[in-house]
Amino acid sequence: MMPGNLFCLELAAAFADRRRLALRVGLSVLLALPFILIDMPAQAQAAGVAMVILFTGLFGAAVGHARLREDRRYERLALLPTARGTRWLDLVLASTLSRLAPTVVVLTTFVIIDGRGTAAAPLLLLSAMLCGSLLLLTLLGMLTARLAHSNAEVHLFGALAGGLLAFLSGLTPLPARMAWLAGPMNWNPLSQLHQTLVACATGSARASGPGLAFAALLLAGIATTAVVRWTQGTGSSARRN
Amino acid sequence: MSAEPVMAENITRRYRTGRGINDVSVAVAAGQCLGVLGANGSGKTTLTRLVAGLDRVDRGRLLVLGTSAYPGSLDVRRRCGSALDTPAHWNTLTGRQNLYFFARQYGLAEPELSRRIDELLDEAGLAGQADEPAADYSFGMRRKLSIVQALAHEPDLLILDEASAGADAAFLERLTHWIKQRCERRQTTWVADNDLDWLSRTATHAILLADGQIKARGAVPELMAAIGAQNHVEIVLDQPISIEPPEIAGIAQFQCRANQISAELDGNPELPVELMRWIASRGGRVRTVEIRTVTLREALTRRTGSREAEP
Repeated sequence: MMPGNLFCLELAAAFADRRRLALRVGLSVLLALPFILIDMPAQAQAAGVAMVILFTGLFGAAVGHARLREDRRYERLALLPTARGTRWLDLVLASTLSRLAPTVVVLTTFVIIDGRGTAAAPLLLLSAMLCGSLLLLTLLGMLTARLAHSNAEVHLFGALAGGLLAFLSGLTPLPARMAWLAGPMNWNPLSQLHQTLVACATGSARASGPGLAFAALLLAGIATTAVVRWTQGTGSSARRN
Repeated sequence: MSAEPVMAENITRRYRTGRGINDVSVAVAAGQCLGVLGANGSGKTTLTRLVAGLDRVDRGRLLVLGTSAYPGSLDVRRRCGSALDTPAHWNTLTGRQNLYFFARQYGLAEPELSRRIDELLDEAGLAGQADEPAADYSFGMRRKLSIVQALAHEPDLLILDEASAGADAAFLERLTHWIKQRCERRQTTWVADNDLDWLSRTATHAILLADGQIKARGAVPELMAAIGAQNHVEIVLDQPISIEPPEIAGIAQFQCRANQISAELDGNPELPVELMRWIASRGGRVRTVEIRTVTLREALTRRTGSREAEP
């Protein structure tokens, strides 16, 4: 495949190395398997799987973007006649989609083994929350990479940011005095992903009208943008990308 | 609007380390190739990054293709091509894929795009490895790939930093050829480099930086002509002798110390032989002769009266 824009370039680069891809998927599945296979409360199972997704998304984005900066590819991209907004859109979107492979395998395994009569609507909600979470984690990972001055700092900042986000998303028990955090969690896709996973595991997964509409809209938005950028990047015209 | 593709007026950029450039003014006209020379840490890369639009000046005015260099408009970036000191590629992708991406960003389209890519890879000596991952490339090959990426769209302003580092002699000759063609087409080239011998064959003009300031400047042929010599000769004799400077046209700065003689000769290829005949006629027996072509390095060193031109 000949990449005609940054989105296609980043995706092509992420999927070109099959060995690295297999290792990424394998590592994520390996980390999630204990939470999927071992009998434990649904809340703990869902939190464990959500943690794996959190660290896969956050560290993947943070380390990837730190490497882009370290080997001067950011700088090289800044010299291109491409608008900064387009550049960042392509980077965020490609980074998000490249983390889908390992996380989709983890979620599919979880739903198959631990799901209790999960219907199509909750699955749509689950997919949307996964995409939303990965988008959030990519942005956080890129911010972490920007703040860090070295690769070691990226890992340190990543662990701190991951821990904080896990707490703010309700993946760890919330102290009673911080119950007010439950409100903002409704807008946090990782928190919503966690709750949907719990519902899937307990067989109480339901998708209401507004929630489902929002999920469909989010998925449609991401998918449309990705398809448009992919089409622009793989066509042979001289369109400005 | 500035007529020169690059116009810097009293620009200063200082970093916290104290390094940078200070009060530099330089103009590069269309069709010129400016060689930026200087020792490590003299400010070459800082100045080049400013011209490329990667950094802003603290003071002064820097115009590139008629507009402010930083942040630089998309149109100006489209008309520039840059290969900076560190080659930056997507390592899991092939050289061809990397080149394709960059060429597309600058508006090249099929079928011209594929033809141009094949042509550049072939001329750069990368055709055999074009479909291998960039990760498998040597440093020199990565450097070549960076340079052809910058050249693919035939930019009005080509900016190269350390172009010769790691590149083989054949590629440097090809690059010289490309740059001379660019000069004929009135396209402008900016080259910061440490290979003074290569630059003396490639650049039309040169500036010498030291401690962040321009210490010497001029057209390369003028700089070379100013020192009035192209060859430096060192002769070692079997025994010490004392002889006066010969009265032969084209020989200058003749010095005789014990059994060592040094002199500057103009471009006449007969002069070294004539000089040795003359030494023999004075009773000297030559043990070794070393003739060194005087390059831009000597020209600039003499212009500044120091060794600042040493990389």
